[in-house]
Amino acid sequence: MSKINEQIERLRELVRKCYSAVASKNGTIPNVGERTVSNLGAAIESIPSVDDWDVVVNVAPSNMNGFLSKKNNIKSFQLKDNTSTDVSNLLYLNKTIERLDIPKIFPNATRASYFMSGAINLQSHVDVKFPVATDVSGFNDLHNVPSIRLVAPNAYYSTNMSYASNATSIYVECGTYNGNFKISNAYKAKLITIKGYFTTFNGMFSNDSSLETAYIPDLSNVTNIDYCFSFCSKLVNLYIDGRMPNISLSNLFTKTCDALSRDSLMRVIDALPTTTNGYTLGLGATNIAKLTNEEIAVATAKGWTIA
Amino acid sequence: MIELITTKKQTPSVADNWLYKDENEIRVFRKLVFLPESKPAWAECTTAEKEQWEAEHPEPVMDKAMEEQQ
Repeated sequence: MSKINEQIERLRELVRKCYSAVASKNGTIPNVGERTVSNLGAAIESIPSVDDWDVVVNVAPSNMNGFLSKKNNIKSFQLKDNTSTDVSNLLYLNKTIERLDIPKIFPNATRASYFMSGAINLQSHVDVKFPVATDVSGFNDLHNVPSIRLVAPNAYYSTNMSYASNATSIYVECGTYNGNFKISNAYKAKLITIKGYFTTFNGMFSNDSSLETAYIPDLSNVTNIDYCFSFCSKLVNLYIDGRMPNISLSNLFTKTCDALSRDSLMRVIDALPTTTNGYTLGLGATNIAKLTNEEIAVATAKGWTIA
Repeated sequence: MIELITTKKQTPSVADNWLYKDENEIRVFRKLVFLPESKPAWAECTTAEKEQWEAEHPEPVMDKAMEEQQ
């Protein structure tokens, strides 16, 4: 009996390796119950071929506005043409789309608003560039994408990029954002990079509870930064490409950011402008204890209260 | 030339008390602050007063605020 059990365990291990091998190639074996030999056949039979797409567009029209918006019977989409000028609402509120193969750059797209907003079941990496589009809103509620990379240097407006709940890394490069842009509730994101010009930054990383490293741009012109890092309890490394704003920073690191490294704290202090307004930089007792009196004096000499 | 920089360290006069300051429509409570020499000391309150203020001024829920703005 023990030899039979050994054989069964060996087969189980082989099945586990099969699942791992498929997963390593970004394939998926659907769950058909417990992952054992007995149902392996059923599982393999139900594997979709990666070459099968529900919708394939070889030559796209100029106007793709709303092409698969709310088309909730579509699970996969391949777009081979990147010449469209309007890709607004392309996947807006498409709640069934899982796999996506689209160009990495849309050189002619001037309109890209609500691009894939609410594609809650999308499981493909999002990596897209809009060199000329001015509105690239629509990357919110991508609950199941493993990563997001958005480059839109001409963009001036966006709605939020919140609830990328399973993304482990997010990269955003944009022009001027005056909208209510946020990357909050990215619960598994360990690395977030933001480049661009912002006037509001409040709640930007709120509830990004796995965030370890954040790169942020110059914030000189930001008028609201309240609760920017709320609940970023694992944030260690913070890099600032420029200056902090001359506004209250009293609740920048609330609830709490006690993992911040001393170097990160000093980068914040070094980026402070001189203020005559009596503003406060709220670090909390744990972070203050990482600094020497001389390092704290760098901030107070610029008119800031450290609290 | 070495510039002498002075920083005022402030703690509550009674250990159980809190320092506080209203800033940007938010009241900040702390046990320890470092102030520029030229700035006034923070006010002080009891823990009961702090808790009452917090009960009367709950922090905004960010996502709700976002939804409202959209």
